[in-house]
Amino acid sequence: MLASATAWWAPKAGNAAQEYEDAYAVEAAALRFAVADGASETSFAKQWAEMLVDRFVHEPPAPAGLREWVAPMQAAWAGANQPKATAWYAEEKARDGAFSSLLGLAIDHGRWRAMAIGDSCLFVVRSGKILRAFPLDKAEQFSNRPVLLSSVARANQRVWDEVRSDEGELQGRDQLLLMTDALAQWFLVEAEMGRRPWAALAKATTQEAFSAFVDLLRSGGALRNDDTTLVRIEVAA
Amino acid sequence: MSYEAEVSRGNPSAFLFLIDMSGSMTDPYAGGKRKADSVADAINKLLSNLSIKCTKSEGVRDYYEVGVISYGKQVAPALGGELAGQTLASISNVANHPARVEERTKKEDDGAGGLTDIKVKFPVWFDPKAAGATPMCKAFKLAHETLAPWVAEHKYSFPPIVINITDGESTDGDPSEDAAAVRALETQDGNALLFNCHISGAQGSSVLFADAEEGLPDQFAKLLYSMSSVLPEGIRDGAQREGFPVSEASRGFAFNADLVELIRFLDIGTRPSNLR
Repeated sequence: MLASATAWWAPKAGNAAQEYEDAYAVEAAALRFAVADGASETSFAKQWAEMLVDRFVHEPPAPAGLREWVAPMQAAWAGANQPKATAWYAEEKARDGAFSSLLGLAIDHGRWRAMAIGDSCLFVVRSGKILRAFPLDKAEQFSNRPVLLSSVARANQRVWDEVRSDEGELQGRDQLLLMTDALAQWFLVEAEMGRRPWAALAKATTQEAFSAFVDLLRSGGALRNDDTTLVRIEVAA
Repeated sequence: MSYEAEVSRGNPSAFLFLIDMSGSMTDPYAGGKRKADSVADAINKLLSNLSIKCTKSEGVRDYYEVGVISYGKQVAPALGGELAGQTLASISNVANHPARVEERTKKEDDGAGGLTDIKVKFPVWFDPKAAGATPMCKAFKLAHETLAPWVAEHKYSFPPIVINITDGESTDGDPSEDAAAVRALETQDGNALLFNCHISGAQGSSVLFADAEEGLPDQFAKLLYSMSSVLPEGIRDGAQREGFPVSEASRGFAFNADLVELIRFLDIGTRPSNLR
């Protein structure tokens, strides 16, 4: 099955580009894709989100094997990402770990399989309709406190029961859209009002066009001011 | 729409703590500790939590300005060390200048079903010095004086949150009017919020986020309740998520909260919105 993918992103307005703490990875040959949203209240969230998406597209976890999949990254984190700084708050913050959502998608033998922790979302669009919204399917389900995957093991005790997975078959011309929470919430609000948000996103064919579109939505109050990421996959006819 | 401003470095928020350090605060409280020591621990813990919350990879981001005013023998700014004399300091300044950093041991889940002792840093900004009367009116006047220019300079910010912690009766008159003047300060996002924590010696079970005067044991508790702001929706939701029974009438008023509850009360009360 052939598919093409594009990925666009925009930092939260008022923040610098290097303060963007979402992450995405596209491994077109293997047909694996991931987005992650590093929690802004944690330190080194960007690095943790990057680590998760990179490993997902290169060595995806076995179904039900997420705990084992995360463990070596936590070990690497404990070894490598301790700040050299001696400030008391840097030390305390490092002990708390970094947190991130993770949404991973793999396409294989005409089917898609996805796993998610937190509120980054996948939408499968076919023939002008949302065929599947995962893991959230209503705009009201977004909260400020999603369950997130941590870089320290002790903080993940409650995560394992919250891992969601889903799968389905694919047809030619299907669109798969992966996005972090602010854009996903906007997407569901639009769909609930009978509009076609996937068509609006399809018009953003360059990074500049996507940034301009995000600015427009934010200035009208339709899009929450947050780091914003979109991976858009089109299945060939 | 009120109390919806996003807290950012461009539009920071402010917290001002008013701490009763009158002579009666040396009385023992829950757990046998002196009231003054329990309150100081709570304030230090809260300043530590706020600093850590604002810590990012590159350092501490100035999402907040924070001040501590103690009232007793004197009414004066009470942060120690290099911050002595400042009524409001940026959170990065606070984080970088505790009066000292102690090391304490705490038990922590080891992630494998057991507990492990870990050493944690416990910074101290505020040391209790309890003596004298309870000039609460004067404390509110200093809060007003501190925050009036702040709201003028931060028109688009989430309004300041003032948290008054006391064991009871004002000795320089009825503080209602001075408290009302503090609550009347406003940004475009709403009026300043005034929360009161009553560390009473009186009988009565602890109440957090009270929503009625009935059931409060004495006139001082009732007076402090009447001076407390109704919780805005965001803070009310936070309290609800943490399992507190709250209603639309709930106020930022805590009665006889123990140390752990006091810290939770302060933690919820200083979470005007998250920083996403």
